[in-house]
Amino acid sequence: MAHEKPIIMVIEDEDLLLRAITKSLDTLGIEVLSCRGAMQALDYLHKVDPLPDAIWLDYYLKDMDGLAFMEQVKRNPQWAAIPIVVVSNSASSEKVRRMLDMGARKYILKAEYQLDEIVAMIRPFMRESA
Amino acid sequence: MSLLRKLTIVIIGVGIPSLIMYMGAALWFARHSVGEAVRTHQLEFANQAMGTLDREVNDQITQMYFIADSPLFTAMADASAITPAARTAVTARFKDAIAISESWDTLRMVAPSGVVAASTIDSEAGSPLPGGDAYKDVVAKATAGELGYSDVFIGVLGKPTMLIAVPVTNSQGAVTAALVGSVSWSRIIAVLQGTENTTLELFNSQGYELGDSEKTNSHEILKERIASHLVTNSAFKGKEGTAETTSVTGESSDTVLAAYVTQEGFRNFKGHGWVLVAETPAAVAYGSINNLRTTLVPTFIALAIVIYILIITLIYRTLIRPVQQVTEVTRRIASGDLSSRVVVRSKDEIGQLGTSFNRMTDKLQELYKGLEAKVKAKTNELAERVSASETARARDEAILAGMGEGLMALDSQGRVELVNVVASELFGIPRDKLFGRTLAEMLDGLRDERDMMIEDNERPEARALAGKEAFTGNYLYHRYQTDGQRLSIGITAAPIFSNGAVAGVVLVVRDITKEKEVDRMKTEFISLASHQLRTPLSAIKWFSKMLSDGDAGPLNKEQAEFTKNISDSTGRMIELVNSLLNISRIESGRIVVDPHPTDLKELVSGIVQDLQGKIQEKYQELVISVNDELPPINLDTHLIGQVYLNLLTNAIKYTHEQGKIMVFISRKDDQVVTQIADSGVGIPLDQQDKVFQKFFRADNVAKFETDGTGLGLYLVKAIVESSGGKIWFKSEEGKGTTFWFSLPLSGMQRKEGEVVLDE
Repeated sequence: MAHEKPIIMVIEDEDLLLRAITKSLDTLGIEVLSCRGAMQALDYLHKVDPLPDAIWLDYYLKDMDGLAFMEQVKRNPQWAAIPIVVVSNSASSEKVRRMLDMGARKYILKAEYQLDEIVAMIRPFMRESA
Repeated sequence: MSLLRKLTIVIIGVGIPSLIMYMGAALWFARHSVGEAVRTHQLEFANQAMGTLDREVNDQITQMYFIADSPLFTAMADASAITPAARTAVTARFKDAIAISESWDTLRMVAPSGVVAASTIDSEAGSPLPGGDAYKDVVAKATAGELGYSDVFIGVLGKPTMLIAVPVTNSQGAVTAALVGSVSWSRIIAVLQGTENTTLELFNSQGYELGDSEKTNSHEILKERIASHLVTNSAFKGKEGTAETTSVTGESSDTVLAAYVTQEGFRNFKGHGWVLVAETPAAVAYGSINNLRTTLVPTFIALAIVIYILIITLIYRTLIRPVQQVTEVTRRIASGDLSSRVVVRSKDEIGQLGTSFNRMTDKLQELYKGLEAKVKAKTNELAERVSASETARARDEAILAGMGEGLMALDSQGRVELVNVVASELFGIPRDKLFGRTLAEMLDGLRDERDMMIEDNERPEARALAGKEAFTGNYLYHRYQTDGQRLSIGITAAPIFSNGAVAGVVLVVRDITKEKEVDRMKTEFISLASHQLRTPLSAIKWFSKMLSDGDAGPLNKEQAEFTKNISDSTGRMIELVNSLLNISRIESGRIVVDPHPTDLKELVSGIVQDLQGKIQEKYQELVISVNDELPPINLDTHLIGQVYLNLLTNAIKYTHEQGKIMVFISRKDDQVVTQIADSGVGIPLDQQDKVFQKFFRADNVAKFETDGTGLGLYLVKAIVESSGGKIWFKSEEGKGTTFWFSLPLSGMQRKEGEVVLDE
């Protein structure tokens, strides 16, 4: 479903970073669905319409770890198609592998990239969800 | 047994029997000789006696013939018709004869008819001859013209007598009468003279005694008859001889020496078989011998004793005493008194022995004194050395015991020769159990860092021996002997060389559990910190980017500058955090190693490509030269790429503008060596040993080139070494630096891990 503005659901528990991301994405013309935790995200997914075009997931979340959240998402047939990109600061190759096995499209290391670079990496996936 | 006793036994054992034998033999021979002499003498004596008797008898016969030959008788015509005047004359003649010789008892003239013509016994005249057959026989004999004689018998007068009859012949030679004399036997027998010791006895052929030299009563004559005796038996058979036997007369049972002779063939008349026995008591005969014996034996014994004493004394003085003396002196010397000497009394062999002995002892004493002095000196020396050695040993023991680390020494077979208390406690095995055993036997709780069993040739001591140099490794040890704890231990094993050959291994063992723990905590901390740091760093980065992009509004020049500064600093900090994280990952050993066949030229070219910007900025020249024949090597491109990146970045960073950088990759034996040479500022000599340390930045660069974490080379070294290679460099301040690193052609080992290095 094409929208005027693409929607990315950003799940990030660091408030500062969330603000930066939101601001940046906004500047880039992307609507942000910001969640501070996984529960909130799941809640939104239940309620929101339309569903986001992509999920920007931080791995380490306060209420649930990224893997569990992903599992939840993938289990739901409605949400399973949404491309998930993991943007985190830890890079345990084990975790990376597992996330990717779960269906994450990419695993990005936060500190390496500027925001616009990250967005550029997510965009290709978003096209798909249309 | 002493010599003395031995000699005594020999002398007694040998001497006495020989003495006895000799004496016995001597005595026997003497006795024998004496016996022989006595017998010979006796026989002779007996013969003599018999001869005397024979002569006596002969004498009587001769007298008879003499008488018969006188004219008175020869003129006789017929004796039977004798005139009284003739008778008277004859009778007177007869009486005269008897008066003269006294050896006749009676004399008679008997006619051939048997009538007595004349007789000294007046009453007989004119009557027939009285008496028995004996008379008739002899008369008959004489009448026949022959001599006639009878044996001894008791005559008409009651006395023992012997008849002798001779013929009286006339001038025509015809026998006119017989002249018969009756011999006074006792007169005859009186010639038997014995000696002091020898008795003579005469026996007739019937065994009646006819007389003896002891002049026994003549009434015994012809009264006693001897019992059968071997002597007289022999004699009666006509033999003469001697015998040692019991007394012939049987009077006593004494032993006598008897000599016996017979009358047979004797002298002038054939006897009547008389036997003469000369007897000497054996005791008397051998008396001399017996005397000899009784005097000889004691004398001999006395003599023997004297001789024995003499011999013994002689031997004692010449041999035994000197030997005893030498023995005594020897004993004294043996018990320590080296001053005692033998007293030499003679010049013979014993004396020489003594003299030599003394000389020997002199020498011995000298030697001993000399030796004593030497021994003393040596003992002192030894005592000093022992004391020094003991002190050293005590000190070594103290060192060993006082060390904070475990120490073990193994011999060339890998068996424990030395182990200190700390090592023993660390492994939980008592020291005495460890001695002589190998570590493979005793430390089976040893594992590698991943808690896997260690191959025998991978053990620290084996690796030290194989590599012939010190080897340090970290291990896990299951101390199930005591508390079951799992310790982290560090073992440094170094081979010990002696005379160029390996003599053993020395191991230093450290409990690094705490260190490991600290390390782990550090790693975790760094990991966590890095992670935590990244979050605000990301925020700073993004916000400052948004600022400089003008997302919050346009910036003035200064604002832009400040923002850029913030951005740069942030960039540096992020880099630092990355490096720290990489290091902590490498140190934790959790890095993934994912080798693929890699063409080094490609890899390096790619990296150089990425760095082109920086190179061109500084107008530098970078040359790559790769050996064409290099095969692809199994490498983790991520890790090795990092190595090249760091080294090249350094080369570029630390070389001035228009400088030159050269990269050579070549093959050397089983290694591929990369050489990266720059013409940069170089590393000061006094800081070259710190180059690979964490956070190290040499003074000459830290001042003007602020960009740099000091972690790059540390990382490079860690990667290269864990890949089985080596890294080294050469540098001169102001001239440039060249780094070399080698990688085995066999490539890197795949390794499961949890993390990768960040870019």
